[in-house]
Amino acid sequence: MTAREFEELFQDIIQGDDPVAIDAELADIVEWDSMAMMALIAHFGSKLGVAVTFDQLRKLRTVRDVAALVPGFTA
Amino acid sequence: MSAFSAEDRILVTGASSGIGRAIALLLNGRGATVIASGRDESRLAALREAADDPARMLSEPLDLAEHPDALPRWLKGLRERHGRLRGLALAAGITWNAPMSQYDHGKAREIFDICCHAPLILAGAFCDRRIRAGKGAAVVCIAAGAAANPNPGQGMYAAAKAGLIAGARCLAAESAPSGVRVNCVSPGLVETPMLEDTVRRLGPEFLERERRSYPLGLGLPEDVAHLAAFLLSDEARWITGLDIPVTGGRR
Repeated sequence: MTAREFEELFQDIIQGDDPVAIDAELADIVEWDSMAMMALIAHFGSKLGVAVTFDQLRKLRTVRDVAALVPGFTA
Repeated sequence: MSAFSAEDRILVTGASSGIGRAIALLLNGRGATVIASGRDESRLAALREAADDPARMLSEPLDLAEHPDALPRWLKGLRERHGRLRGLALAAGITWNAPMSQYDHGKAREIFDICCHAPLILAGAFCDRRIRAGKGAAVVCIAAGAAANPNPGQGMYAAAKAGLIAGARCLAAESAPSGVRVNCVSPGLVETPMLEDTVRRLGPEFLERERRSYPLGLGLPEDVAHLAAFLLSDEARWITGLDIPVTGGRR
């Protein structure tokens, strides 16, 4: 998965109005709340086969950090 | 206290863990012959070792989701191998947390297969008078408080459990003339491996927030098992078609 593809996926998951940059700070994304995290955890688990927890997500700083959880992500 | 005899053969699904395990141990302790079903054979073996009378704790490993349509034939096989069944305690379940925006057909189908379709297929097949005991036959389905009051993220699970409750109520009406009783128990949060798994994913704050909404605190598997055992016993002979919440005072 490329950075561009992950940006689109991330925007879809958090249902953001605006495009998301791969190096955006998670703290600056207004849609990045607990429901968005739950949505991402569910999507990663059911579609990508990646198990992620809330605790893991809370420690991440940027969208790129989230993308790095996906095997095969090419920065 | 409800008592059973060794002739009271009761199938418990999901018996290798959590609420199902507690039901299996309680029924065994009260004299019933338990046919314990679960996916994990080693945990079923451990259950047998933990039983008051291991000779009355029989293991029948099965993945309920593998072939739901084959469950009536499997139940018929249990009757042939072990004798007529007195009751079913249908406790197998899985959960998954996802907001409705992430409603996933594949995941929902898996949840519905285990939490709704499998127990209803088994309960319906149990009503066959060639399979069940002539007197005292009863079914208890472990539903969930989430069916009536889902938290955010419980949509697929709650929908499956609500379907289970509705189907069980229908079966109760259909089978009452034959003397078969069907009830549901709907627990709130109970300290089980399933809850531990949820907390691992959603974080400890989720648990602390939830805990505050339970006046009597979170439940233990045994708290649910006692009601299930009562509903399976003749002491509950005038009770059918109910969904009884066990929620430590939470509404």
